[in-house]
Amino acid sequence: MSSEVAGYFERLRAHLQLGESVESDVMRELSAHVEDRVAELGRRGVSEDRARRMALDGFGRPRTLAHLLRQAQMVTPWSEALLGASAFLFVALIVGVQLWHMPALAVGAAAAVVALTLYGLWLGRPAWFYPWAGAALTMPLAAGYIAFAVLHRELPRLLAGSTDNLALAGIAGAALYFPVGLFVVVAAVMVAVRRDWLDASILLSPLPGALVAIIGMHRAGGLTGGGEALSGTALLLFGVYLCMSMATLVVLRAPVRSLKVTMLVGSALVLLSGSTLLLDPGGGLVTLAGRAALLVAFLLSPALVARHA
Amino acid sequence: MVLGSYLTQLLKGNTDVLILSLLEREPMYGHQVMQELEQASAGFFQVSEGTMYPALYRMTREGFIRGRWTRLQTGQERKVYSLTKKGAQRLHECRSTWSGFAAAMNLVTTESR
Repeated sequence: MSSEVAGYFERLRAHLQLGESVESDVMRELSAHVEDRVAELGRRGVSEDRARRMALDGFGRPRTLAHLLRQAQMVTPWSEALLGASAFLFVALIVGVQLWHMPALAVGAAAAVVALTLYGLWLGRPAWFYPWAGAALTMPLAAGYIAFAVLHRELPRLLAGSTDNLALAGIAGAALYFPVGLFVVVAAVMVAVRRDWLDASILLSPLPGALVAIIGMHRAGGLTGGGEALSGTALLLFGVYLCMSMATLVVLRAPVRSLKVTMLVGSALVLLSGSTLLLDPGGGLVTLAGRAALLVAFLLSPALVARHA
Repeated sequence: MVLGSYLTQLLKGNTDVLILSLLEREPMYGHQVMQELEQASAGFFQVSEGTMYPALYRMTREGFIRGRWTRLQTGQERKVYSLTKKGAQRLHECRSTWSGFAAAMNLVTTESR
């Protein structure tokens, strides 16, 4: 085997992480393919060096091929699964230390989430990308609540005859935000669905928790008075995102698709039941069943989109 | 629209059914699949290795094909893929869908004379 081919396979193997026996099998098959391809091109009059390069070019970049082969085998390596799960661990920590009381650190944390999401996008959306992108999607949701709060405060004043230009600009900006924010979320889901609806479900998974936090904050008095109320549920939200982190690790590592789906839906239902028991113990079984149905429908909605896309 | 991109998308969406069709004729190894595909389509379909092998592995996992290391007459060992019963059924379904799709496309896109 030439040094060029050996170097390519070395790089490919470094990224594959499929386990010793599967990797050996893949390497053996792809090496045989290069051998066949070089012989075939040689018969067409192509020099051996050029034939080798052409054969390797057909495989593409080692990192990309490794990613595609792993995806075909449905296996996410531990390193990627841990990185993916750490997205929700990060969110759990943000909630746990109540970072909204420390605006500078909160902005830094948000920037870190966005940076990792963009890095994952640049890498070609590996498996760890989706939980981070999901964490990033909670930001448009939070921004949506701010826009709602602006409308909620300024619209009655406008209707009462106020002509404050700043308030008018705020209302216009807030009203414009909703279609833009919705577009960002829908576009992210559609792009994820094109590859695999399960990726899109993972992407959507942190949103219900964030929505519950926002609703809780609104009920407690909104942006001005809700921060304290949010602190009251911080421990619960910390627990929810911590459990989500562990569930994501299992979902990403699961070798069988049905197990991934079961784990995703099952953990969501367990978390919903647990949270409801703690937050709203008198809510009743019907309410819980309704919420559970809504949650499952939300998480599995990408499957429906994929079916009709 | 760039026509090359249109063709790439079409090919990408039909790689599985093309491979299954070839394996229905006879069991083949990866390089053979690529060559047969090119020959059978008079050079029109050229699938890259980076597309074909992930497709072969995915279809193996889904149970549509199975791969076995086999010693060829030349003495070389190659992983030869063959169609499973589930794969044959899948191919049959894809063919029916394709026939309907192609007929409908022709009805819509054929220029009126």
